[in-house]
Amino acid sequence: MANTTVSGALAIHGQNPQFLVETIIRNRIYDSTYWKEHCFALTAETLIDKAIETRYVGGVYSNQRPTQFICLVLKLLQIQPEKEILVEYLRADEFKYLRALAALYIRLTFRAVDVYELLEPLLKDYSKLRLRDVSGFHLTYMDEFVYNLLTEERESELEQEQKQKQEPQPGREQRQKPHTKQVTLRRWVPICFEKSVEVAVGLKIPFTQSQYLSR
Amino acid sequence: MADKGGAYGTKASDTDFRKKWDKEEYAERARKKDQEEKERMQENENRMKQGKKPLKGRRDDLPKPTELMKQREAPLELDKNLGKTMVVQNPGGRGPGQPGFYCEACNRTYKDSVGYLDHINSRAHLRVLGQTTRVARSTLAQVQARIAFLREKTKAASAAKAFDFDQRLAEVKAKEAALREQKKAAKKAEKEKARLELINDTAVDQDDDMSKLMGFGGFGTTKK
Repeated sequence: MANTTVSGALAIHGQNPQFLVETIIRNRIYDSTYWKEHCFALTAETLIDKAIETRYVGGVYSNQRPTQFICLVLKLLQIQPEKEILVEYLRADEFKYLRALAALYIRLTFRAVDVYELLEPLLKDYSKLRLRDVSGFHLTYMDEFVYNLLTEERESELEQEQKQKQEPQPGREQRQKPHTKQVTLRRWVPICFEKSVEVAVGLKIPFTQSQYLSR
Repeated sequence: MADKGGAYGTKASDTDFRKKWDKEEYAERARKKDQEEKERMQENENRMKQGKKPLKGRRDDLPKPTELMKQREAPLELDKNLGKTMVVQNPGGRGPGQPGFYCEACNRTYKDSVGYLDHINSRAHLRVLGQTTRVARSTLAQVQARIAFLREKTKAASAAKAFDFDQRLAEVKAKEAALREQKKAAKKAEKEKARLELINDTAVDQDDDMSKLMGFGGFGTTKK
Protein backbone atom coordinates (compact mmCIF):
# COMPACT_ATOMS: atom_id res chain seq x y z
CA MET A 1 0.00 0.00 0.00
CA ALA A 2 1.39 3.38 0.96
CA ASN A 3 4.55 1.71 2.16
CA THR A 4 4.93 -1.21 -0.21
CA THR A 5 7.44 -1.30 -2.99
CA VAL A 6 5.99 -0.77 -6.43
CA SER A 7 4.95 -4.03 -8.04
CA GLY A 8 7.33 -5.30 -10.65
CA ALA A 9 10.31 -3.66 -9.02
CA LEU A 10 13.67 -5.29 -9.51
CA ALA A 11 15.35 -6.68 -6.46
CA ILE A 12 18.52 -4.83 -5.57
CA HIS A 13 21.36 -6.86 -4.14
CA GLY A 14 18.95 -9.74 -3.95
CA GLN A 15 16.36 -8.08 -1.79
CA ASN A 16 13.60 -5.55 -1.62
CA PRO A 17 15.12 -2.16 -2.44
CA GLN A 18 13.50 -0.56 0.58
CA PHE A 19 15.55 -2.83 2.83
CA LEU A 20 18.62 -0.79 1.93
CA VAL A 21 17.43 1.59 4.60
CA GLU A 22 17.87 0.00 8.00
CA THR A 23 14.77 -1.38 9.62
CA ILE A 24 14.76 1.00 12.54
CA ILE A 25 15.14 4.08 10.42
CA ARG A 26 12.72 2.74 7.86
CA ASN A 27 10.07 2.30 10.49
CA ARG A 28 10.79 5.75 11.81
CA ILE A 29 10.24 7.09 8.33
CA TYR A 30 6.99 5.19 7.92
CA ASP A 31 5.79 6.72 11.17
CA SER A 32 6.86 10.26 10.38
CA THR A 33 4.31 12.90 9.49
CA TYR A 34 6.30 14.07 6.51
CA TRP A 35 6.14 10.62 4.98
CA LYS A 36 2.44 10.23 5.56
CA GLU A 37 1.42 13.72 4.59
CA HIS A 38 3.79 14.73 1.82
CA CYS A 39 5.31 11.55 0.42
CA PHE A 40 1.99 9.84 -0.24
CA ALA A 41 1.52 8.76 -3.87
CA LEU A 42 4.58 10.58 -5.14
CA THR A 43 5.75 9.78 -8.63
CA ALA A 44 9.14 10.39 -10.18
CA GLU A 45 7.71 13.63 -11.52
CA THR A 46 6.11 15.04 -8.39
CA LEU A 47 9.06 13.97 -6.29
CA ILE A 48 11.13 16.68 -7.94
CA ASP A 49 9.06 19.40 -6.28
CA LYS A 50 9.55 17.84 -2.88
CA ALA A 51 13.27 17.37 -3.47
CA ILE A 52 13.66 21.02 -4.37
CA GLU A 53 11.86 22.03 -1.21
CA THR A 54 14.28 20.16 1.04
CA ARG A 55 16.73 22.42 2.81
CA TYR A 56 19.37 19.98 3.97
CA VAL A 57 20.81 16.54 3.42
CA GLY A 58 21.29 14.02 6.19
CA GLY A 59 19.91 10.88 7.72
CA VAL A 60 18.43 11.41 11.14
CA TYR A 61 18.58 14.27 13.57
CA SER A 62 17.84 14.98 17.22
CA ASN A 63 16.06 11.96 18.63
CA GLN A 64 16.40 9.69 15.59
CA ARG A 65 13.93 11.74 13.60
CA PRO A 66 14.27 11.14 9.87
CA THR A 67 15.08 14.11 7.65
CA GLN A 68 13.00 14.92 4.60
CA PHE A 69 15.99 13.94 2.52
CA ILE A 70 16.09 10.38 3.80
CA CYS A 71 12.32 10.12 3.41
CA LEU A 72 12.71 10.97 -0.25
CA VAL A 73 15.53 8.45 -0.63
CA LEU A 74 13.20 5.79 0.69
CA LYS A 75 10.51 7.02 -1.67
CA LEU A 76 12.87 6.66 -4.61
CA LEU A 77 13.75 3.14 -3.49
CA GLN A 78 10.06 2.43 -3.27
CA ILE A 79 8.99 3.69 -6.66
CA GLN A 80 12.23 2.69 -8.42
CA PRO A 81 12.28 5.14 -11.34
CA GLU A 82 14.04 4.28 -14.56
CA LYS A 83 17.74 4.91 -14.91
CA GLU A 84 17.23 7.69 -17.45
CA ILE A 85 15.08 9.60 -14.98
CA LEU A 86 17.82 9.44 -12.36
CA VAL A 87 20.32 10.73 -14.90
CA GLU A 88 17.91 13.54 -15.66
CA TYR A 89 17.80 14.40 -11.96
CA LEU A 90 21.58 14.54 -11.91
CA ARG A 91 21.67 16.87 -14.87
CA ALA A 92 19.53 19.51 -13.19
CA ASP A 93 22.51 21.36 -11.79
CA GLU A 94 20.66 24.30 -10.25
CA PHE A 95 18.66 22.04 -7.96
CA LYS A 96 21.48 20.84 -5.78
CA TYR A 97 19.42 18.89 -3.29
CA LEU A 98 17.72 17.01 -6.09
CA ARG A 99 21.18 16.26 -7.40
CA ALA A 100 22.40 15.07 -4.02
CA LEU A 101 19.34 12.87 -3.71
CA ALA A 102 19.91 11.31 -7.09
CA ALA A 103 23.61 10.82 -6.33
CA LEU A 104 22.84 8.92 -3.16
CA TYR A 105 20.21 6.79 -4.86
CA ILE A 106 22.56 5.97 -7.70
CA ARG A 107 25.25 5.02 -5.22
CA LEU A 108 22.83 2.73 -3.42
CA THR A 109 21.40 0.91 -6.39
CA PHE A 110 23.46 1.15 -9.56
CA ARG A 111 26.31 -1.05 -10.74
CA ALA A 112 29.72 0.06 -9.58
CA VAL A 113 30.80 1.06 -13.09
CA ASP A 114 27.74 3.20 -13.58
CA VAL A 115 28.17 4.74 -10.16
CA TYR A 116 31.65 5.96 -11.03
CA GLU A 117 30.72 7.10 -14.49
CA LEU A 118 27.76 9.09 -13.25
CA LEU A 119 29.10 10.46 -10.00
CA GLU A 120 32.66 11.39 -10.89
CA PRO A 121 31.59 14.46 -12.90
CA LEU A 122 29.91 15.72 -9.74
CA LEU A 123 33.31 16.09 -8.11
CA LYS A 124 33.53 19.33 -10.06
CA ASP A 125 30.40 20.68 -8.46
CA TYR A 126 31.44 22.87 -5.55
CA SER A 127 28.03 24.06 -4.44
CA LYS A 128 27.36 24.25 -0.75
CA LEU A 129 25.12 21.77 0.97
CA ARG A 130 23.59 21.98 4.39
CA LEU A 131 24.01 18.77 6.34
CA ARG A 132 21.92 17.97 9.37
CA ASP A 133 22.79 15.25 11.81
CA VAL A 134 22.31 14.45 15.46
CA SER A 135 24.66 17.21 16.55
CA GLY A 136 23.11 19.92 14.40
CA PHE A 137 23.71 21.62 11.09
CA HIS A 138 27.02 21.54 9.23
CA LEU A 139 28.32 22.94 6.00
CA THR A 140 29.51 20.58 3.35
CA TYR A 141 30.01 20.72 -0.41
CA MET A 142 28.68 18.66 -3.24
CA ASP A 143 32.11 17.34 -4.21
CA GLU A 144 32.77 16.33 -0.63
CA PHE A 145 29.42 14.65 -0.41
CA VAL A 146 29.99 12.73 -3.62
CA TYR A 147 33.53 11.85 -2.62
CA ASN A 148 32.20 10.35 0.58
CA LEU A 149 29.65 8.42 -1.40
CA LEU A 150 32.37 7.01 -3.60
CA THR A 151 34.87 6.15 -0.90
CA GLU A 152 33.10 5.53 2.39
CA GLU A 153 31.25 2.36 3.11
CA ARG A 154 28.73 4.23 5.09
CA GLU A 155 28.40 7.93 5.28
CA SER A 156 29.06 8.52 8.93
CA GLU A 157 26.61 11.37 9.13
CA LEU A 158 24.05 9.68 6.97
CA GLU A 159 22.80 6.92 9.14
CA GLN A 160 21.88 4.55 6.43
CA GLU A 161 22.96 1.28 5.03
CA GLN A 162 25.06 1.59 1.96
CA LYS A 163 27.59 -1.10 2.32
CA GLN A 164 25.47 -3.70 0.58
CA LYS A 165 26.29 -1.87 -2.56
CA GLN A 166 29.88 -2.82 -2.20
CA GLU A 167 29.50 -6.32 -0.90
CA PRO A 168 29.40 -8.11 -4.23
CA GLN A 169 32.77 -6.54 -4.94
CA PRO A 170 35.54 -9.01 -4.32
CA GLY A 171 38.10 -6.26 -4.64
CA ARG A 172 37.18 -4.94 -1.25
CA GLU A 173 40.03 -6.51 0.71
CA GLN A 174 42.64 -5.22 -1.67
CA ARG A 175 41.49 -1.68 -1.18
CA GLN A 176 43.57 0.60 0.94
CA LYS A 177 42.61 3.89 2.44
CA PRO A 178 42.96 6.37 -0.36
CA HIS A 179 45.32 9.28 -0.07
CA THR A 180 44.03 11.41 -2.88
CA LYS A 181 40.96 11.42 -4.97
CA GLN A 182 42.86 10.69 -8.15
CA VAL A 183 44.44 7.54 -6.87
CA THR A 184 41.21 6.18 -5.53
CA LEU A 185 39.25 6.73 -8.63
CA ARG A 186 41.90 5.41 -10.97
CA ARG A 187 42.35 2.36 -8.88
CA TRP A 188 38.72 1.72 -8.35
CA VAL A 189 37.39 1.64 -11.82
CA PRO A 190 39.81 -1.03 -13.06
CA ILE A 191 38.90 -3.19 -10.13
CA CYS A 192 35.33 -3.10 -11.26
CA PHE A 193 36.29 -4.05 -14.77
CA GLU A 194 38.79 -6.75 -13.92
CA LYS A 195 36.42 -8.58 -11.70
CA SER A 196 33.51 -7.98 -13.95
CA VAL A 197 32.37 -11.57 -13.86
CA GLU A 198 32.13 -11.73 -10.12
CA VAL A 199 30.73 -8.27 -9.93
CA ALA A 200 28.07 -9.14 -12.40
CA VAL A 201 27.10 -12.30 -10.57
CA GLY A 202 25.85 -10.40 -7.61
CA LEU A 203 24.16 -7.82 -9.69
CA LYS A 204 22.72 -9.79 -12.53
CA ILE A 205 20.66 -12.06 -10.37
CA PRO A 206 17.88 -9.53 -10.10
CA PHE A 207 17.23 -9.68 -13.79
CA THR A 208 15.99 -13.25 -13.71
CA GLN A 209 12.29 -13.74 -13.49
CA SER A 210 12.37 -15.42 -10.10
CA GLN A 211 13.92 -12.44 -8.46
CA TYR A 212 11.08 -10.12 -9.27
CA LEU A 213 9.48 -9.02 -6.08
CA SER A 214 6.21 -10.65 -5.35
CA ARG A 215 3.66 -8.34 -3.89
CA MET B 1 -50.00 8.43 35.63
CA ALA B 2 -52.86 9.42 33.48
CA ASP B 3 -51.69 12.86 32.61
CA LYS B 4 -48.24 14.18 32.94
CA GLY B 5 -48.32 16.78 35.60
CA GLY B 6 -46.92 17.67 38.94
CA ALA B 7 -48.36 16.62 42.26
CA TYR B 8 -50.52 19.73 42.34
CA GLY B 9 -51.63 19.47 38.78
CA THR B 10 -49.06 21.91 37.57
CA LYS B 11 -47.30 21.36 34.32
CA ALA B 12 -43.58 21.79 34.62
CA SER B 13 -42.30 24.01 31.85
CA ASP B 14 -38.73 24.24 33.07
CA THR B 15 -37.82 20.96 31.38
CA ASP B 16 -38.90 22.02 27.91
CA PHE B 17 -35.34 22.40 26.83
CA ARG B 18 -34.92 18.65 26.86
CA LYS B 19 -34.75 16.89 23.60
CA LYS B 20 -38.03 15.50 22.33
CA TRP B 21 -37.38 12.08 20.91
CA ASP B 22 -39.20 10.97 17.86
CA LYS B 23 -39.98 7.53 19.17
CA GLU B 24 -41.57 6.23 16.03
CA GLU B 25 -38.57 7.06 13.94
CA TYR B 26 -36.24 5.25 16.29
CA ALA B 27 -38.53 2.27 16.48
CA GLU B 28 -38.46 2.16 12.71
CA ARG B 29 -34.68 2.30 12.71
CA ALA B 30 -34.45 -0.52 15.22
CA ARG B 31 -36.82 -2.61 13.17
CA LYS B 32 -34.75 -2.02 10.07
CA LYS B 33 -31.55 -2.94 11.84
CA ASP B 34 -33.07 -6.15 13.16
CA GLN B 35 -34.29 -7.01 9.70
CA GLU B 36 -30.85 -6.51 8.20
CA GLU B 37 -29.25 -8.58 10.91
CA LYS B 38 -31.75 -11.33 10.34
CA GLU B 39 -31.02 -11.36 6.63
CA ARG B 40 -27.30 -11.46 7.27
CA MET B 41 -27.67 -14.40 9.62
CA GLN B 42 -29.75 -16.27 7.08
CA GLU B 43 -27.16 -15.64 4.44
CA ASN B 44 -24.41 -16.75 6.74
CA GLU B 45 -26.29 -19.94 7.47
CA ASN B 46 -26.49 -20.62 3.77
CA ARG B 47 -22.82 -19.90 3.39
CA MET B 48 -21.95 -22.22 6.25
CA LYS B 49 -23.92 -24.98 4.59
CA GLN B 50 -21.87 -24.46 1.45
CA GLY B 51 -18.69 -24.61 3.51
CA LYS B 52 -17.83 -20.93 3.12
CA LYS B 53 -16.76 -18.49 5.77
CA PRO B 54 -19.52 -16.33 7.27
CA LEU B 55 -19.50 -12.63 6.50
CA LYS B 56 -18.56 -10.43 9.43
CA GLY B 57 -20.55 -7.33 8.64
CA ARG B 58 -22.56 -5.56 6.04
CA ARG B 59 -20.54 -4.95 2.95
CA ASP B 60 -21.14 -1.92 0.80
CA ASP B 61 -21.18 -2.61 -2.87
CA LEU B 62 -18.71 -0.12 -4.24
CA PRO B 63 -17.83 -0.01 -7.91
CA LYS B 64 -14.42 -1.29 -8.85
CA PRO B 65 -11.68 1.29 -8.43
CA THR B 66 -10.75 2.75 -11.78
CA GLU B 67 -8.21 5.48 -11.08
CA LEU B 68 -4.62 5.10 -10.04
CA MET B 69 -3.52 6.34 -6.64
CA LYS B 70 -3.25 10.11 -6.80
CA GLN B 71 -1.53 12.72 -4.76
CA ARG B 72 -3.77 14.99 -2.72
CA GLU B 73 -4.39 18.22 -4.53
CA ALA B 74 -4.73 20.59 -1.60
CA PRO B 75 -2.48 20.67 1.44
CA LEU B 76 -4.10 18.98 4.41
CA GLU B 77 -3.56 21.90 6.81
CA LEU B 78 -3.60 19.66 9.82
CA ASP B 79 -2.63 22.50 12.12
CA LYS B 80 -5.03 25.13 10.84
CA ASN B 81 -7.23 24.91 13.96
CA LEU B 82 -4.31 24.66 16.32
CA GLY B 83 -4.80 26.74 19.47
CA LYS B 84 -8.36 27.71 18.59
CA THR B 85 -11.38 27.36 20.81
CA MET B 86 -14.38 26.15 18.88
CA VAL B 87 -18.01 25.42 19.65
CA VAL B 88 -18.91 21.80 19.16
CA GLN B 89 -21.94 21.70 16.90
CA ASN B 90 -22.93 18.12 17.19
CA PRO B 91 -21.99 16.73 20.58
CA GLY B 92 -22.32 13.01 20.96
CA GLY B 93 -23.59 12.43 17.46
CA ARG B 94 -21.96 11.00 14.39
CA GLY B 95 -20.90 12.90 11.35
CA PRO B 96 -19.36 16.31 10.88
CA GLY B 97 -19.11 19.02 13.49
CA GLN B 98 -17.48 16.90 16.13
CA PRO B 99 -14.08 17.64 17.53
CA GLY B 100 -11.31 16.00 15.55
CA PHE B 101 -10.47 15.37 11.93
CA TYR B 102 -13.46 14.47 9.81
CA CYS B 103 -13.26 12.43 6.62
CA GLU B 104 -16.17 13.39 4.43
CA ALA B 105 -15.87 10.49 2.02
CA CYS B 106 -16.01 7.84 4.72
CA ASN B 107 -18.05 9.78 7.34
CA ARG B 108 -15.57 9.18 10.09
CA THR B 109 -13.99 11.39 12.70
CA TYR B 110 -10.48 10.87 13.98
CA LYS B 111 -9.30 12.28 17.25
CA ASP B 112 -5.71 12.90 16.20
CA SER B 113 -3.78 13.74 13.08
CA VAL B 114 -1.87 10.45 13.04
CA GLY B 115 -5.01 8.37 12.95
CA TYR B 116 -6.46 10.66 10.33
CA LEU B 117 -3.35 10.46 8.17
CA ASP B 118 -3.33 6.69 8.45
CA HIS B 119 -6.94 6.64 7.39
CA ILE B 120 -6.63 8.87 4.35
CA ASN B 121 -3.67 6.82 3.15
CA SER B 122 -5.52 3.58 3.74
CA ARG B 123 -6.83 1.17 1.19
CA ALA B 124 -10.41 1.52 2.48
CA HIS B 125 -10.41 5.27 1.98
CA LEU B 126 -8.87 5.00 -1.47
CA ARG B 127 -11.49 2.44 -2.36
CA VAL B 128 -14.23 4.90 -1.51
CA LEU B 129 -12.52 7.49 -3.68
CA GLY B 130 -12.39 4.96 -6.49
CA GLN B 131 -8.62 4.70 -6.52
CA THR B 132 -6.45 1.64 -6.65
CA THR B 133 -3.31 1.35 -4.59
CA ARG B 134 -1.00 1.67 -7.54
CA VAL B 135 0.85 4.83 -8.42
CA ALA B 136 1.20 6.05 -11.96
CA ARG B 137 4.69 5.69 -13.41
CA SER B 138 6.01 8.90 -14.80
CA THR B 139 7.92 8.85 -18.03
CA LEU B 140 11.20 10.47 -18.88
CA ALA B 141 9.43 13.12 -20.97
CA GLN B 142 7.25 14.09 -18.04
CA VAL B 143 10.25 14.41 -15.77
CA GLN B 144 12.11 16.53 -18.31
CA ALA B 145 9.11 18.77 -18.77
CA ARG B 146 8.73 19.19 -15.02
CA ILE B 147 12.37 20.08 -14.54
CA ALA B 148 12.21 22.60 -17.40
CA PHE B 149 9.08 24.13 -15.90
CA LEU B 150 10.64 24.41 -12.45
CA ARG B 151 13.77 25.86 -13.96
CA GLU B 152 11.74 28.64 -15.59
CA LYS B 153 9.81 29.23 -12.42
CA THR B 154 12.87 29.56 -10.23
CA LYS B 155 14.49 31.76 -12.84
CA ALA B 156 11.52 34.12 -12.73
CA ALA B 157 11.62 34.09 -8.94
CA SER B 158 15.33 34.87 -8.84
CA ALA B 159 14.90 37.65 -11.41
CA ALA B 160 12.23 39.18 -9.25
CA LYS B 161 14.63 39.11 -6.34
CA ALA B 162 17.45 40.72 -8.33
CA PHE B 163 18.39 44.01 -6.75
CA ASP B 164 18.69 47.28 -8.69
CA PHE B 165 19.76 50.01 -6.27
CA ASP B 166 18.95 53.07 -8.39
CA GLN B 167 15.58 51.76 -9.32
CA ARG B 168 14.76 51.02 -5.73
CA LEU B 169 15.90 54.44 -4.62
CA ALA B 170 13.69 56.03 -7.26
CA GLU B 171 10.80 53.93 -6.11
CA VAL B 172 11.28 54.96 -2.50
CA LYS B 173 11.54 58.62 -3.48
CA ALA B 174 8.39 58.45 -5.55
CA LYS B 175 6.58 56.80 -2.70
CA GLU B 176 7.70 59.49 -0.25
CA ALA B 177 6.71 62.28 -2.62
CA ALA B 178 3.28 60.75 -3.07
CA LEU B 179 2.87 60.53 0.67
CA ARG B 180 3.88 64.15 1.11
CA GLU B 181 1.43 65.27 -1.57
CA GLN B 182 -1.30 63.37 0.12
CA LYS B 183 -0.57 65.00 3.48
CA LYS B 184 -0.50 68.43 1.92
CA ALA B 185 -3.83 67.85 0.22
CA ALA B 186 -5.37 66.66 3.45
CA LYS B 187 -4.13 69.72 5.32
CA LYS B 188 -5.44 72.02 2.62
CA ALA B 189 -8.83 70.37 2.68
CA GLU B 190 -8.99 70.81 6.44
CA LYS B 191 -8.15 74.47 6.20
CA GLU B 192 -10.77 74.98 3.53
CA LYS B 193 -13.34 73.26 5.66
CA ALA B 194 -12.51 75.43 8.67
CA ARG B 195 -12.81 78.56 6.54
CA LEU B 196 -16.23 77.55 5.23
CA GLU B 197 -17.42 76.81 8.74
CA LEU B 198 -16.33 80.24 9.89
CA ILE B 199 -18.27 81.89 7.06
CA ASN B 200 -21.37 79.89 7.93
CA ASP B 201 -21.05 80.80 11.59
CA THR B 202 -20.91 84.53 10.89
CA ALA B 203 -23.98 84.17 8.70
CA VAL B 204 -25.83 82.60 11.61
CA ASP B 205 -24.58 85.35 13.89
CA GLN B 206 -26.41 87.98 11.95
CA ASP B 207 -29.67 86.16 12.58
CA ASP B 208 -28.78 86.02 16.22
CA ASP B 209 -28.69 89.77 16.52
CA MET B 210 -32.45 89.89 16.43
CA SER B 211 -32.84 87.26 19.14
CA LYS B 212 -30.31 89.09 21.26
CA LEU B 213 -32.35 92.18 20.99
CA MET B 214 -35.29 90.19 22.30
CA GLY B 215 -33.15 89.15 25.22
CA PHE B 216 -32.62 85.57 24.20
CA GLY B 217 -29.07 84.53 23.61
CA GLY B 218 -29.54 80.82 23.12
CA PHE B 219 -28.62 77.91 25.42
CA GLY B 220 -25.13 77.31 24.24
CA THR B 221 -22.04 79.27 24.93
CA THR B 222 -21.68 82.62 23.35
CA LYS B 223 -18.04 82.05 22.84
CA LYS B 224 -16.95 81.78 19.26
